[in-house]
Amino acid sequence: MKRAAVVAALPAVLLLLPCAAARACPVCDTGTGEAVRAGLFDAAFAGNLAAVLLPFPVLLALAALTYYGPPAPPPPWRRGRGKKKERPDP
Amino acid sequence: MTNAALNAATQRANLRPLLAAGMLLGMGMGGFVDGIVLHQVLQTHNMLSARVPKTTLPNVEINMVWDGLFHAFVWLLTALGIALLFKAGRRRSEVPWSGRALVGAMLQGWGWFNLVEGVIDHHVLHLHHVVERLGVSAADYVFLASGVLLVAAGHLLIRSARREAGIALPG
Repeated sequence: MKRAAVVAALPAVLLLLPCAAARACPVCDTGTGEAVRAGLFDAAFAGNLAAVLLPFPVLLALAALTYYGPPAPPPPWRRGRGKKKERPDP
Repeated sequence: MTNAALNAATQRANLRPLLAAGMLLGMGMGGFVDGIVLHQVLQTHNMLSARVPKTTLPNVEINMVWDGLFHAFVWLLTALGIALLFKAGRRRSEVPWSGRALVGAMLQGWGWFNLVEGVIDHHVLHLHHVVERLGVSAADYVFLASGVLLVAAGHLLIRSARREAGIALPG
């Protein structure tokens, strides 16, 4: 169990190791890191977030329209004036 | 198969689950093409490069964070597409399993991604442009045109797949 937890945590530890060397990541406790955080979470943050995400609801709506769209009309060989037509033999 | 059975099977046939899955996969993979090729490899623009110019290290990193968020959402579109494809695969009796329809839907999804993202991000909100140093340029219109071409190519493939499966438009 402990071993599994160590193995699971390893990627996170490996990701954090180079942080000290880079000294510029958004979560680094450095001047650059602070500047990045300040630039990210400024007054424009909510607007930027909404702008970046805006295309995704539109794309999801297009996919939903494809999935739940209007039912298909019957195939051509079944269309007629109230008469049931059988599909011709191939 | 008798005529009656063929008619019944054709009436039940429904390409929509396969098309929706393909479309989401195409949108996701189209987003990855944009993100990987234009944002990361060529670096002609980044997510907010028109608002936060890439002139300093913090600004480059700020753009990188927004690029990451963009990639997270195209990843979600792709994951949703895989889930829908799996569901469609379990309904093989009513969902015709057509590779042509799937590829057509993926092309359409990629095309819709280019059109929607191009119109909203490049032309309406001006978050970034295809070649940032040029601002709105011919490259932005080529990006939109590629979307139209991909949607049209996908439509032709899907129509051909429907003919093959004997399904009437548009289902």
